[in-house]
Amino acid sequence: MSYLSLIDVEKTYASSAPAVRHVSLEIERGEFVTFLGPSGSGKTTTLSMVAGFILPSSGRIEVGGQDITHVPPHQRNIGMVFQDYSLFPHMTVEENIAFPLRMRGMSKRDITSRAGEALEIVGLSGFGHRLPVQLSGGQQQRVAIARAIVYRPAILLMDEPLGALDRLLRDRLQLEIKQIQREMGITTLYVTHDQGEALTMSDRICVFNEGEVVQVGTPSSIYEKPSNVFVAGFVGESNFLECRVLTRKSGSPGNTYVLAFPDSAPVTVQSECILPVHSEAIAVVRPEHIRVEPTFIQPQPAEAAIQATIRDIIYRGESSSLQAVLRSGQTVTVRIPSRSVVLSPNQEVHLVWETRDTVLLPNDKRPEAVIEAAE
Amino acid sequence: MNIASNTPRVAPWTAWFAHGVIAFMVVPTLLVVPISFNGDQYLSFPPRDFSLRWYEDFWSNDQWLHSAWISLVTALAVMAIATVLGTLAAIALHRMTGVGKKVLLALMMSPLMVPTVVLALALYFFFARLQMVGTWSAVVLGQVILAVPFAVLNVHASLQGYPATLERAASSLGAGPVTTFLRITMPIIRPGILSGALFAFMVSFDEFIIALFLAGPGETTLPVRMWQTMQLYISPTIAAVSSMITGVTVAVFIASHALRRRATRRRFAERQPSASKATKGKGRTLVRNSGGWPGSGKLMSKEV
Ligand SMILES: Nc1ncnc2c1ncn2[C@@H]1O[C@H](COP(=O)(O)OP(=O)(O)O)[C@@H](O)[C@H]1O
Ligand SMILES: [Mg+2]
Repeated sequence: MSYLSLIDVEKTYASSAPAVRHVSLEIERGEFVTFLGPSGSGKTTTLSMVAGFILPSSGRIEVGGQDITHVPPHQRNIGMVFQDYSLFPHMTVEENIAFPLRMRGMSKRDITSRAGEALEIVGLSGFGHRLPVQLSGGQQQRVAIARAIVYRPAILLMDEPLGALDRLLRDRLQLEIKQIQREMGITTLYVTHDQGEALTMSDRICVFNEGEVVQVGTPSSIYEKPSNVFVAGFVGESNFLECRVLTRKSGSPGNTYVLAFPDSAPVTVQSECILPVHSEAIAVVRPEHIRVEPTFIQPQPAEAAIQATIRDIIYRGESSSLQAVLRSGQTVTVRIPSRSVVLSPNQEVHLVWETRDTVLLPNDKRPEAVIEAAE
Repeated sequence: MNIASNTPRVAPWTAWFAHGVIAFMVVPTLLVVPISFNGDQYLSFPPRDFSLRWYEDFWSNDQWLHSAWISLVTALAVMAIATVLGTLAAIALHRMTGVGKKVLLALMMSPLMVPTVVLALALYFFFARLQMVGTWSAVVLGQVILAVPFAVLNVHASLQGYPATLERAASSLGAGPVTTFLRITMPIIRPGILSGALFAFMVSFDEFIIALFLAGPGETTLPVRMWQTMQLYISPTIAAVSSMITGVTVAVFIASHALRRRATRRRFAERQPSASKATKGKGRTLVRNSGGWPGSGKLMSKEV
């Protein structure tokens, strides 16, 4: 039995295309679910409907089996953290944190002790008497988090809470937020457009594109088994290789396909995806799964190999990014450890990967268009 | 902050011209002050001897005092009504977007553009229908029309930097719409409301034309009484009254400025020196200097 349910939720702002379409989600108690998607994909709109700031055009939202679609936000017992912190500028840190407790009519003594606890949780004891302007961005966001959890709300919503902070601080707060969330066991919806953040923090990721949920799954399933070209391109880097289905052998758990790539021997791939014979398909291969071999070495039975010419080698610290051009003119990105680079541009090579690292998807859209949209 | 150091260099003649304009704007008003302390029977400048007789004349004259009282009460009523209406209107405007907002704002500002005589005449006919000409309420309502734009402008300006998410934050934390307004919105835009209120007060306090058209004989306001007195003969008492009104005006604006400064200081208080010091790795000194945050030194020096 799920705790928070979004049932076919839809939102259309005045006179425009729907901002959110057919969103249905089941979230367990204590789960950390991330909405991941490019800007404008409807994440904030969906979160705002859960918070009650905007009313869905259609659909229902339930918490613990109760329909809360029409409950105003201040009666929902939901905590929210905003990207711009939204601390009350005329109140001290302590007054900010005490605010939700006062709204709940708690006694002065309880308020003081609860607010103190919350400040301690976010590591800011002793800062209670400062005004928000006297704190750094990271500290302000900690206060906002303390304020949102101090009354132990049923659900915590966070809309790009780390978006305005620098990289190092973001990495640290990611871990701290995750730790607080786990210790309090609070059901959390977290919005971000940063795939790394989503992969690090989430129990499950819900990928948004153009107002729709395009895939829901654990971080590893999203990364390793993207169910469409958009997800493959948005979460992590991907190479999209066009191919054609030669034969299909049905079986369980998945079907076995033989694929034809230009400039390569036929490749046998397992996939749960159902594709008709002779159809166009896309093989998704992650840059880190590809090896570069000299042309005279023949691939192993469970490997695929494609001829390519190296164009460029980009040093990136621990790894190097290698751009190779196929005969078809397509560029493929390969990631290899920097130490092992013994290659030079214009060299003819084989790009080799294990066939089980291939994700097969139907070719319904041009991948370049999708990647552009994602960026 | 040193204002002088911010003044850009200008050619000497520009400075002289500017000083001349300022003098022209201020001196005639200030001349009234020495005249009011004149001991002579007639308005004269420079005054020949110093005397407070015209002030005494004012404070011992029931008619003058009554008019002052009427002016004060009227201004307070206008201030209250215009501030409430103007604040609500400004908040509504702040939430609107697009053409509707521009049209509405222009409509609300229109009393500033229409000549007051025209407005007064229109109001005269309007209130005549309602048989309200010559009543105190008519004067108040008429002056409210003139005062509302000032309240709207001031509150609207103070809403500019007000993040919309604050209200959402408050409601997520359990505050209903009324509580949110009273505890969050109001305190933040209070300086704007206060200066709007002061403007509204002043608009009414020295308003002449509408009061002249609409007031009955029992509700003669101070400016109207001055005008009536001058019809008969030019008594130096007028200079005394003028000086006192000028004094009140100046006091009110100094007060409003002080209020705003205080509010700004509190909201945009200078960042603690800690912010910059800590990044330079002086976290420990910082904690000792500012004192009173035991145990927080470690975090501060790492973070920020
Ligand atoms: N108040 C609004 N009025 C009209 N359109 C809106 C409003 N808020 C968002 N939108 C539109 O809805 C879509 C989704 O926006 P949003 O939910 O903010 O996306 P995200 O948070 O994923 O960046 C966008 O196309 C945006 O332009
Ligand atoms: Mg957003």
